[in-house]
Amino acid sequence: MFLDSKYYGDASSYAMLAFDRRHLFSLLIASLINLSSLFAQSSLSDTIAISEVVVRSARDVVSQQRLTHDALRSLPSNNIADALKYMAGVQIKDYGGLGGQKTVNVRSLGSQHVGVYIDGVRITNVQNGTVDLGKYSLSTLESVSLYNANKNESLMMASEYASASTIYLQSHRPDSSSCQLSASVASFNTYKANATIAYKRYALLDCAFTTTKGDYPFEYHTQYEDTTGRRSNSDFKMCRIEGSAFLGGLSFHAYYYNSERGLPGGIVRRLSGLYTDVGREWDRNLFAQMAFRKRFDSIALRSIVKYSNDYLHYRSDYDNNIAVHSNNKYRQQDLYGAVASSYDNGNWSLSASSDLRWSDLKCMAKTTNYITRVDSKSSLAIFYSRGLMNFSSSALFTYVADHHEDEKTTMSHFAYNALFSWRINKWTLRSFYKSVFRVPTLNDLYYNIVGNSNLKPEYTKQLDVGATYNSAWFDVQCDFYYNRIDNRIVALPLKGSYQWTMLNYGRTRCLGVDISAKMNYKWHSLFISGTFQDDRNKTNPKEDAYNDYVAYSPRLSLSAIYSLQVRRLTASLSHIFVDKRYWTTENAIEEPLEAYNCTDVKVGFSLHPLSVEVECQDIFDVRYEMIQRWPMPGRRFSATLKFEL
Amino acid sequence: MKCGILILTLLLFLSACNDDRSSEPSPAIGLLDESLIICNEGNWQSDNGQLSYLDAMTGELTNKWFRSVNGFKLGDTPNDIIQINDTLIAISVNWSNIIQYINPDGTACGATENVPNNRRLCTDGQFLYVTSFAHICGSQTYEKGYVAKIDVASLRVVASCGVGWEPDGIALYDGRLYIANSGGYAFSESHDYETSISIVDAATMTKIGDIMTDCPNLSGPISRAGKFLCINSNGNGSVASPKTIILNCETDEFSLLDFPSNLNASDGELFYTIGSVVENSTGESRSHIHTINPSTMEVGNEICSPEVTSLIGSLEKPYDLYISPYTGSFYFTNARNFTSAGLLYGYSSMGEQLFEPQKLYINPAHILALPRR
Repeated sequence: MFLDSKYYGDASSYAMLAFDRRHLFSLLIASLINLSSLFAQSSLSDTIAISEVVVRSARDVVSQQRLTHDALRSLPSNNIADALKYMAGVQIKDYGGLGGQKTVNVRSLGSQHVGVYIDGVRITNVQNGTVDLGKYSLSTLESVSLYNANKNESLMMASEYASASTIYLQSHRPDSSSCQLSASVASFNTYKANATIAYKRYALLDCAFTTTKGDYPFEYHTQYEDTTGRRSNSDFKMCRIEGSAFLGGLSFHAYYYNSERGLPGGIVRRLSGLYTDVGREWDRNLFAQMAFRKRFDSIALRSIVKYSNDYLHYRSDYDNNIAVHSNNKYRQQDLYGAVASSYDNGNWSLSASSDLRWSDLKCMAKTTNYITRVDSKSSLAIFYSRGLMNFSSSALFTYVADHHEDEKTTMSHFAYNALFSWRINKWTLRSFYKSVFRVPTLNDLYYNIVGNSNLKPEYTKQLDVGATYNSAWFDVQCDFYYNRIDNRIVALPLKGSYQWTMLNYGRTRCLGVDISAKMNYKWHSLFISGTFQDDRNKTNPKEDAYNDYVAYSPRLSLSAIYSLQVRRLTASLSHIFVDKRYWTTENAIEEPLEAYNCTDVKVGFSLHPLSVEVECQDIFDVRYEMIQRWPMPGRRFSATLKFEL
Repeated sequence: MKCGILILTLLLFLSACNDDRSSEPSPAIGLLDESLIICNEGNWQSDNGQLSYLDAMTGELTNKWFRSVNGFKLGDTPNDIIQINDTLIAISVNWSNIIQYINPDGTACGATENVPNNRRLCTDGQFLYVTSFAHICGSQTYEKGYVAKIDVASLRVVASCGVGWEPDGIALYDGRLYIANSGGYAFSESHDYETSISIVDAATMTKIGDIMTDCPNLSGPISRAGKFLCINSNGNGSVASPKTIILNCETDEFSLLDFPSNLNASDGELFYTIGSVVENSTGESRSHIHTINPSTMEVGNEICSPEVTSLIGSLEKPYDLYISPYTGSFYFTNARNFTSAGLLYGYSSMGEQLFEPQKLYINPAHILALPRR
């Protein structure tokens, strides 16, 4: 019966081969899905026009923050990380400059617990588990949404339940044919060009090119140092071509990214720039994905297929490099298929989904390693809605099998979540509990001398209680949360200072409150968010670092975006405050990184078909760092000319 | 509802108000027979290498001593410290690419830049010899690693000599330099772990030859007891297990012992070693604590006293072992979890505790004793 399924048959039969027979739960789910797939297929044969699925969603059950297309365009931002930093509970790790890696961490759960999805399909990196948000553009997006826990739709894929937090990047769906060309010039020899072409409601093509020398100045002025300099080896060049196509419930997305960048090190004491540690990196990412949604009365179906191919080349074997000489290449492939189906029956609905992901990683370093991973997830969810009350609960089963050097290792785990909400007039009260686990990445397990093939998964538990108030021009939401991470996967230099080993070590606990508010009045809009959290190390009561703040977790962070749109004029003013952050595990032994304020401004004027935008980031030239000894650029300017038809 | 939010906010605020991050002071120490300088490596690329100073006269421990005395930072990942003469101490600051010189009172008095990626030091009082993992020394380039000779009077590199890949430990005996080649970058570079000990004539800085040990990855400090050297081999993580090499510098013959000596020290007669083997399968560490008589190759299972041996065996991560050339006292450190401040322990040669464990800084790795002034 599996082989007949047009949309899932091959994948599910492969999944069944990978499954252990003991996993009755996944069998049940797969069977349920397959039945719905068969149903969908028979219905499809009678259907010519494909209509869009209306997704039933209790949107207030989980806390959600969203920046829409207009808000994204008003921000003086270069990439998704720049946009996310305004959201409550988000911490960005940015190594500075356009080429510096940017990862996101939500509610201190760690960047590997944040799932990033483009049009509902997760971006994966089986090698190190993190997503560099600097690679993805804002210009093609309709919205950026952050969900603590996960969305609460009935047609969710199993992998969407598998992250502690989820970020959804929704591609902009055009409503008419258009063509937009833009060119920018910015500080530090930065030049950008962008072209976006839309064809009716069916297709969107976006091409971008960026080059920068990235040699921004930095300064450290403290009691013990008076350092000024310019970043070197921080140049960056990238080309991105992205396209989307839409036809009823069918959507297609293809993405190509190619970059070259220098990898500057941390700023450490040197007498001169005579000797350098030089590293360079080349990235190439390619993916194509197709998604389909369809509803047949009380049954709905969603399916996704995706193929991605990533290449990373790191070199440091230059004559003038004084450190380790490497020339390593990594190739990853990822083949993903998923299907979800739901059944609605008045007040309640049932949803089942199953994902199958096959990944391989070929490391061409000193020796060549080849590793494959089969990751299968199955979920079963129930949704109940009665009057003003909503409830949902889901169970997720994950099975992972790695094949490395003729050895097969497997891991499996159940995770659960439950969400509840109650609406009282304009107020909605809500709460959720969610447990997830993170499978060690292939780097954690197998990377040269560092990897430890006996690592156990890392576990997180989240509890959230919150409320939302909605009115015509004012929305506010507030959430209290409790997080706990057990079995943290960390690297420790167990074999000497230069030989690190991955281990399960450590436990943290985070208590916090997120508050965000949105106001719209005539031409004005204001978005304010704030996070206050208490993120502590709870590893070992005998350690001096016990109960200390977790490194790089600020207690307080605030942000605000004010936007004005008056006829041809647009303007925005945004501000961020991040409190001091300790950067050592034992807080008392070092001064924390200083709190910082950063203010950006952007002004645009449009005279069709031309428009001009001018922006200044960090207008007060505040020198700060997100990572110790990796300075961020100070004040910088940018001017963009756009031509739109 | 509003009341509930208010109460929760208040509770959270109160729980977070405990922001006292001040470090607990270490127990007080009385007069000591010698002062100690401890070189804390800090974290790589964090520019937080630090010196700690334990003053014999006052019994006072000062962490971050270098920067408090000089008003500027020491640099990134200091890797070794050595006393050259009565007035000069050298510190190899690995990732800052400098050899930093200080007076015994901690004041900086110069630096040498031309030995990047420097590792370990030895001296004859007139010259300083430094091993380096890099391939560049001023205008000179080497295929593998090298050892540089620095004139203490001018603080300039006056000669250098190519040796094996990633040379680490270094010792001087009768005008000859013995350099343990590690090949420590073998995990990434095209060469294998080294198994050789290079011998270099210190006067002419020409290579005399290599001693092939068949023991891979010779890394860590080298201690000397008379004509004998104690050298650690980390093994290669698979076929070759860790070993301790006892080398007779008169004959250039060596004996092997079937345990590691990642940390080793000598009182001039015996070697004292602490080694650890990490089980790749579990990540757990097994420690080896021994005393070696190089003349007879007798091996004991005790350092200083049964209590001290037991204490060392119980430490999470022993990170340095040092025997004072002035008093014969034993000092050792514990790096704990590598991210918190480490601890210093001190015992007399008779096994009496000199002071309660003292809290240092991150990764305290190298100790130097100074006679009481």
